[in-house]
Amino acid sequence: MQNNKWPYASLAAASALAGKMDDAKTALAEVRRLEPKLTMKSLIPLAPPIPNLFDGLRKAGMPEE
Amino acid sequence: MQRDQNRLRVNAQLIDAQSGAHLWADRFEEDVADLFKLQDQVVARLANTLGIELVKAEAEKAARSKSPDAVDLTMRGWALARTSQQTKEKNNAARALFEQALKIDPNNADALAGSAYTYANESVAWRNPETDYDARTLGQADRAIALAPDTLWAYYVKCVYLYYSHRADKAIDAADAGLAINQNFGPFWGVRGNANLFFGRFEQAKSDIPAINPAWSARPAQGTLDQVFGRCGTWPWAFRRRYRGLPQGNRSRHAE
Repeated sequence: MQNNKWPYASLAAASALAGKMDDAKTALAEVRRLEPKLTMKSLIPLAPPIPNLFDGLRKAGMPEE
Repeated sequence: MQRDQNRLRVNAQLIDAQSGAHLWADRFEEDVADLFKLQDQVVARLANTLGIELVKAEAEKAARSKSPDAVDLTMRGWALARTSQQTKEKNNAARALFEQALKIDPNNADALAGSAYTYANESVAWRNPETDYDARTLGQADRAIALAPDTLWAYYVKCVYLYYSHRADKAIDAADAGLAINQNFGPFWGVRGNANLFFGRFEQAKSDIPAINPAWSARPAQGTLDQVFGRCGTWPWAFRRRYRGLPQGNRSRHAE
């Protein structure tokens, strides 16, 4: 999927909320590989207003800051 | 693209948007009267280079049109509508080209979809309170689909616009209708994935998102809305960064 992190972010969130934590960690690792500095704080202003995206990313282990 | 009286010259180049690498370039020149021949030449050579069936399909569609000038105007309209640095002026200029095309051939589905696309762009970036965007965007896209059910960009315009106007359920329907035409169009899966994530259908979102197919990047997505649903069918992050004037209603509506 080239180096676009966002589909992986959505995938990480959906996986975490579906209870598939292994898949969530794999997808999140890809997000972090593509953009190591991304945090919840830096992501939220740019992200789409989907509350589940934020909840899911937190559950997958995205750092707050 | 340059036009001199009745001659049309096209300098075409193919650049890998990721690496910036120059993959292919060629120049074509032909009489405007032989526009189809020119298109066929460009497409045949591109298709040979890329081996992509989708490109051939576009050429066949153009060959079916009865009005070469409408096709010419429409192609120029799309080229302008999808430039990487979109501005209100370029968006308006693209619309003028589509409208000219529609004067010649009121049933040109690609021109209708193009006009719809410029209104969808405008509704997000430069909204005018007096304009009926549903009619301009959905109305024209639906007409395009009624005329030619394989007008992929009409479905694309619909699902992006519907999502943006807080109708994620209808956006999924439009994406599904588009997927019935072409399963390889990544942005449709992107719409489904994110809308299903929004609705809390996580298993569904989880299976939709990986279907976002990078093969579609053969037709580089760069325009305003393409940055919204871009190459990999992502969401409007890039867009928000550039256009702070977005209707902020989005956020509260989704938070309900």
